[in-house]
Amino acid sequence: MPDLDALTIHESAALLRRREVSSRELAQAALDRIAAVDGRVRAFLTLTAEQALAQADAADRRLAQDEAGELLGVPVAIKDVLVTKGVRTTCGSKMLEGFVAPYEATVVRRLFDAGAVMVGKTNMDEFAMGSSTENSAYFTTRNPWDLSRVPGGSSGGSAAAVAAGEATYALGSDTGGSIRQPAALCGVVGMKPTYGRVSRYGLVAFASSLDQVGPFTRDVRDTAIVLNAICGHDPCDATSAPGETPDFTAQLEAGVRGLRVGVPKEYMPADLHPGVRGCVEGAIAALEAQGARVERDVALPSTEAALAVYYIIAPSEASANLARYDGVKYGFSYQQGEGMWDNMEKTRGLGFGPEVKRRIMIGTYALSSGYYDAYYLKAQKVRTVIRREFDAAFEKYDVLVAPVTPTPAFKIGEKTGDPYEMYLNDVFTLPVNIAGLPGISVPCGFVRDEASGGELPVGLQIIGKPFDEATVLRAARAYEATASWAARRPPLTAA
Amino acid sequence: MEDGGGAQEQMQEDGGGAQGVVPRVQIPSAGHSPYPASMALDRDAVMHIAKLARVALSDEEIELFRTQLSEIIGHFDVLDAIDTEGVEPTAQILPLHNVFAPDVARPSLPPEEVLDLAPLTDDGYLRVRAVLE
Repeated sequence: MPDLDALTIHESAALLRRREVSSRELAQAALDRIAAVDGRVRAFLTLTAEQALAQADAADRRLAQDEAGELLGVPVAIKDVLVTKGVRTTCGSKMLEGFVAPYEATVVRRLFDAGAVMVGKTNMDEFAMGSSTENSAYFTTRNPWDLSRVPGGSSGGSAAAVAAGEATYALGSDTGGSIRQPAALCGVVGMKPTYGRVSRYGLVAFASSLDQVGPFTRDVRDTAIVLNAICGHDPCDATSAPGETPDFTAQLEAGVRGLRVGVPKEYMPADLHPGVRGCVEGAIAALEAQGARVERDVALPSTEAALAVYYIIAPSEASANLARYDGVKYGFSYQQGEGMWDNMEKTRGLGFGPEVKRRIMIGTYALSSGYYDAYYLKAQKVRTVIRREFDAAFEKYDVLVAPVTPTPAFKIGEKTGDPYEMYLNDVFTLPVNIAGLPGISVPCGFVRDEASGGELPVGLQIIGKPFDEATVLRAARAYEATASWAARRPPLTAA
Repeated sequence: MEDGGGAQEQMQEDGGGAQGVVPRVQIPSAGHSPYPASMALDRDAVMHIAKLARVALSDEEIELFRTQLSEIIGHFDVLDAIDTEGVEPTAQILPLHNVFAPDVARPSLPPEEVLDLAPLTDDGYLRVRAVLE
């Protein structure tokens, strides 16, 4: 019997098809693995063991009827930012501690229709604001490769769950890097599709013009398989892109011969962590060896400004979106105040954690009278400048490649005292959200941690043209096929 | 969790005075520029922003946010160096405008399920303390 908690989706599907394993066995293996390691990793906020076994039994009945489907009967973990009918959705916040949504997010419904088996909801930075899960109101998830380090964030629970073998794949959300950054730090594949590709209906809103849902998987083929299931127009999301969704697995093995690859120089700064640089350079060389036409020193001059654009636009949108948490309709409610306004202010003061309050304050400031033009409108104009720079680059290149993060996983507590230092983690990922582009993080090596003697994963970022996920996936797969990183597993032993 | 398209629809705040409850507080600025290059926020400014955002802050939080927000906002100055003369703002990246739903009635969520989520209800309505007291 193969090691069930190390399988990819496509390997699981093949075993299920041949009746060599049942969905119930896969679900039980995931639940057993969670019981063995999650006390240390702490990837899950809510476990749904009973529902998982019921879904697995239903999947086994469908399989017995010879129904086929890559996701049918395969265990998944869902970031707690996606609402699930009948299962609590906390968003990592005390504000939604007991919140049980009366409807299902479109992406979750699509997975359930395809026969997915949900083992639980994963930990995250509160309202998806953060890069480490340290902003979760509940606890910090630990990096399976080194339990003293962060898994990244905000979708750190989803990344850690897949890396630790607690689920075959997971869903996350990415507003400024919240899928790609934790994927890189945990050594799994993570992808943010083009803005509009995946429905945001039932995704608890953070910054609506930047948010996008995407998968964490153990290899690139699995990412293509999940995208096939979750992409597509949804009338419930007015910003969902109309049009057909291609089969993302179709071109996966077509290789990169002749592919024009650009390396933006702003993403390889002099102070880049040398280990990260080495891994990324190695991956670029591997693409070149496969026949890609690599050109360096591509200029994206407004990259430095992207951080400021992001930290104006995202908090501004957040301050509007999070106005709904007023203690009146749902969620935490302070009732002992002097009146309605006092109750509302204390509901928000006590219900939100420090980073959420910080961002609401930044956004409120940037949108306030006298500052709107200087900050918010200016940031939206620079957003146009950044988009144009990407557009110009994509006239010459099919994809851009870069590091995902400036460093490997950092220590828990290392950056919590300085919000701006924490924000710098996303410097290579957030321009992609600003321009709405698809981007993937694929494992590209390990950095040796001299202090512990352990190894920390590094991610390669591949960025594509809008709605050209297929080329991004093809390049990622071509690189992955030359490397053996996907076979490595974190040194977590069952307790 | 309806999603209203975020900031595109957000109106500019003109101060808490609009509700007739909170006296308007001026944000002090250095010199005459409405947005000085490097702005250090003072306590009153932080409290004013908190009032606009309807977030109660402790004294410690006011002091913490005063220094942290000043630093973060200070980094926004980098935008001044970018020429945006004649550049249109981008609110979102899709070429979509005015997406309309077909004008067809369809069932909503059951009202009792939605009201069950609320801390206080009264005869099918959400209940709040009096707005004007």
